[in-house]
Amino acid sequence: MNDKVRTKFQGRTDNLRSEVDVASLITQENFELERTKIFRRAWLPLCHTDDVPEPGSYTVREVPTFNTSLLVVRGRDGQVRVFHNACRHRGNKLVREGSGCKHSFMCNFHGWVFSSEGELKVVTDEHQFPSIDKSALGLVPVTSEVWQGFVFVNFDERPRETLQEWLGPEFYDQYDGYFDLHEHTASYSVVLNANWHLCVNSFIEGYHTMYLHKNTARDYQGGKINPQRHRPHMELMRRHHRYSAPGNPDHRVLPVESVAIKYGRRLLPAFDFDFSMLPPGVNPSRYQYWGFDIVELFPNFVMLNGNHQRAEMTFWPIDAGRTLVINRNFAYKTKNLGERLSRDYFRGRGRDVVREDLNTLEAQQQMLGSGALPTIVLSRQEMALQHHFAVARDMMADA
Amino acid sequence: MTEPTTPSNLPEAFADLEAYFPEWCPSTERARAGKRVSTDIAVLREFHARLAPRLEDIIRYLNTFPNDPQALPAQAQHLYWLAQMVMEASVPVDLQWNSSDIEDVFPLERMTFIAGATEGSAR
Repeated sequence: MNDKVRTKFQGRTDNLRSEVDVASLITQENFELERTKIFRRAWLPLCHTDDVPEPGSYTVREVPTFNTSLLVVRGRDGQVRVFHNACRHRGNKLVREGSGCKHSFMCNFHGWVFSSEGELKVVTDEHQFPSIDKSALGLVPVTSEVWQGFVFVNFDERPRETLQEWLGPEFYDQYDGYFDLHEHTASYSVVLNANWHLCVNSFIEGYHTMYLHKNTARDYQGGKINPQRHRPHMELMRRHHRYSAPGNPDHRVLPVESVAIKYGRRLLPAFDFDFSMLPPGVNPSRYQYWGFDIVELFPNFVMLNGNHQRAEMTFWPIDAGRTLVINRNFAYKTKNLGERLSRDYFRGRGRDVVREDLNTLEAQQQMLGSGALPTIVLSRQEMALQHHFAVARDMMADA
Repeated sequence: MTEPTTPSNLPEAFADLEAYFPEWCPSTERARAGKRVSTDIAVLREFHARLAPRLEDIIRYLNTFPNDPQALPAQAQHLYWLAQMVMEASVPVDLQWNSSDIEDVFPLERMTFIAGATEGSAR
């Protein structure tokens, strides 16, 4: 057995199960419980502070899981706040969609005006509201906190943990400066007819890469030194997990790929990089042939963290059988147009890989939803999936 | 007598590629990705065979401009879009596929390419 790279697992494994009854998890009834016991009790990454760069900047984010639309605004005081995107008069959306910059928001229905701090400033024909108290009718806030430029929201009445406690010491101060290295390049979204658990699962293991991606990413991982592409490092934490993917030092560069590398940077995999410059949370085991890290911030956020690029996937459950998937891509800041073209080449390659990942999900949903399979069976290389389901069980067991 | 001017939508150094404008110069990633998957692989290979050898020249030329695609003069901007199309179209050719898209794959039409840097609006 060619086991040249043995995965180093860190963290608790006694609570994991290699067989999981997924059919019972993906019912609408179970999802309603998950919405309360998982999604309403979690800190959920919503957007970035870069999405609202200046005082007055705003952006709209739909959150189908809670059937709401959120308005993220940077006030004149510089603070980023999150509100339900609804006028307090009769619930019309204050901003239909999009992003921009203004210091006040006027509802197009009756002309009420709110400030960029969410305060109700103008009630038109005010005397027709005999006892209105404007100070009590500001935009309804959603609890939010910022970490490393990520705006997290929490829909709990009173959050049970701070964001710092939720993230844990393995993350909280382990990423300083990393998320400033790259800039946004492109985002895609898809509504999939598949349960959110299955969607998350598709992006937290590398076992599939040799088979599913044989035509799109043939030899980027593993290679002679690691033919089964075992993860060199995997950490399981209280809620979240992180693993490193193994790059293949014998990857054969393709013709146009070599032009892209010549005029830009090698985006997959990474051997041209001095890991000592990365904060401790990235390539935490300092693996010599490091490709990238996969991080799941439970319940519904997965990151791919690389040297010159990174990506995020958010999975917003719409219902037990549908999920809104948002894929955001980031890469190194360019110094010329050639580097932009180089980035474009690798992003085009990556887009095909993501389409392959998305492609098995509706089939899994159908077959697992039919109840025909009593369980799914997970390997050691799929321990991140085992961990995901264990964390879900933990949160569902809480009162 | 004035002669009719021939259209020059690309910079003079790349006048030989004029025939590729506008068809092979879509201005958005969505349009380029769509053009790639809907074009016959034989046509993509022909396009690639013609353009790939010029790719380094194109990049070196574009690198003489400031790093702002929106601010490029028209001819250079068309050339930039053409170069982006080369990057997109090269994928099935570089990987030696028999078709311009993967056989069993999530349909591109179901992907929304989100405009701009935020998810606030979709295109």
